[in-house]
Amino acid sequence: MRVLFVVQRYGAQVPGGAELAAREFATRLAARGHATEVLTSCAVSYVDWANAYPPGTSMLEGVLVHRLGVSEPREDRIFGPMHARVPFGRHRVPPFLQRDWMRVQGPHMPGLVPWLREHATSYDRIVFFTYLYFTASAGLPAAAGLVPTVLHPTAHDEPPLYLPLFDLMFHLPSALAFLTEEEAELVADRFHTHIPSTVTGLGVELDTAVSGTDVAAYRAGVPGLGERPYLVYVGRVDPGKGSVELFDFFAAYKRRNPSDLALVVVGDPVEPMPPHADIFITGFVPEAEKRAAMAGGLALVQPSYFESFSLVLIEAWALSKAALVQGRCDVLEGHARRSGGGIPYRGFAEFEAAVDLLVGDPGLAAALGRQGRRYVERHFDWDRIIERYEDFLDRIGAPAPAVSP
Amino acid sequence: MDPPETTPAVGDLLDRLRARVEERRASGAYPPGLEHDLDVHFRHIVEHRPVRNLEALHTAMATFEEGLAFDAAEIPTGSRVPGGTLLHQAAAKLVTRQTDWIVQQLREFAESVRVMLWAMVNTFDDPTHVHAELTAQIDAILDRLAYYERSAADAPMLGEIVRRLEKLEAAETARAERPEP
Repeated sequence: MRVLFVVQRYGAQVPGGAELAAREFATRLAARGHATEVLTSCAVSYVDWANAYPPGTSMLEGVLVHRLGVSEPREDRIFGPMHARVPFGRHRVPPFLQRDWMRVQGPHMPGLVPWLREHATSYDRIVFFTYLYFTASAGLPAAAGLVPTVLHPTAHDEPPLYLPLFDLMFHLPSALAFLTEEEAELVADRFHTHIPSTVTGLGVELDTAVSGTDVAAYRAGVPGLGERPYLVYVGRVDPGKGSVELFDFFAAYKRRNPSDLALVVVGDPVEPMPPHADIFITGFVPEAEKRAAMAGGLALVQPSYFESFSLVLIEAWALSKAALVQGRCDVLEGHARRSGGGIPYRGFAEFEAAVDLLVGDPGLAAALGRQGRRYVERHFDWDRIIERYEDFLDRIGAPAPAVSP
Repeated sequence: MDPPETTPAVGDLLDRLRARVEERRASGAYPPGLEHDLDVHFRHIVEHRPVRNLEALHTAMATFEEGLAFDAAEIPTGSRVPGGTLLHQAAAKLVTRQTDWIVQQLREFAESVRVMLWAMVNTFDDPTHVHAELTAQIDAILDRLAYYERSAADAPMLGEIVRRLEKLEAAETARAERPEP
């Protein structure tokens, strides 16, 4: 099967859950013998979409990658106020302004639509990742109808999802693919679509043993951390990710409960954060170091309000680590309840009580970690996911009735 | 031999955790304003989530459901007049066939109303319930309005329209003030 993935960013240096998911699916389909290609931008960072990779075609992990240049970087001076008015504004804004917001949000690639119109029919399936960006917003209407298409919305319950701009998009693809049941429910509630769909999930590597030496080396590499127990947060430091709230909660916790407990943040702040004696921000680190950071922690904290899957949570469970998760995010709460591997908290009082529970009972953290690991083994094995995904892609091409999950 | 593994249930943990929070709250462990201040990020997020409040409608439906028990036996036959109760009971017996028929018709009618009302409530409750044609019209009007508001190229044309309007108004004023021939 010849499959094209269309995604806003793609590459070994590109962080981001949806982008990683696209890369995993593309790479693993290629490894199973499918002619897999990717159409993407030259950007690495979504903050400005600056062209970092050269335009043109290259090969990455067995996947042919076509990169188109971004015509203009995202300027916060323009995008910031627009973002505040369009998805976050109190009033409905006219369609032209929604379209302008999409263009300014980017990555604006004038070559995208002509490229798809010219090449779409040479593929058996075209798969779009992430509803939110220009790549799907402009690309899906260009390809739909020419070839069977799949949209992985990676949707969160966030204000942009409610923009009328997206009403049509969710009715265009031949099928929808979701990362969790909660994401599927959210999209069904919002768009009332009746097109075929499946819940794919995402896989993780289960052979992720981290040695004590790796953890010790990680601790030694974080000045001032020493042997202190710590909670770990992995991801972007961004208000939308709940990390700013986590900073506030943790600082309040430490004021009220003095101890040597620390918070280690593995990720780059979108905006500079005020320094705190108990919070260690290490920035993005290589994969092995990230695993060591998670393995050395008491528990992972996942405070995000907007998750369609949370790969980092699954990775922590693969390492048999307990988790504290945002209870006001249906996806995270669903994972925690199904797995028995995490404690969902709602608000500071519950956060404080949950941290107390974990700090006061190391056996509890270990037991939660074990249950998390079992959950991952049951549901997130890549081989099984890719087999189901191949079957799904096969079936959406057939003129037969609906595809069932 | 390894000790048996404990398997904590998340529901039980949450019960423990919330009980602890309630105890602390009751004991004044959270200073006034602490939780509210720390919830600022959440409030910022939820204020953008669409909320449908159909509680009043559901309460009215519950009251409606309670009133659906039509029964001829519920028609009172008691009387303060001597012998009145016997008379009412006899009359009721005499017209049993008719009252039963009327009650049956009422039941069927109420059931169809009930079905219809629930269908309407469920339609309102559907988060995707929109008036597509109205939405499209509003969008079109908003687009045109915004076009006029922001289009610098049209400013001279708008100015011309305003001038012509003022001329017409002045002419109308002059016409109204002219004495009748």
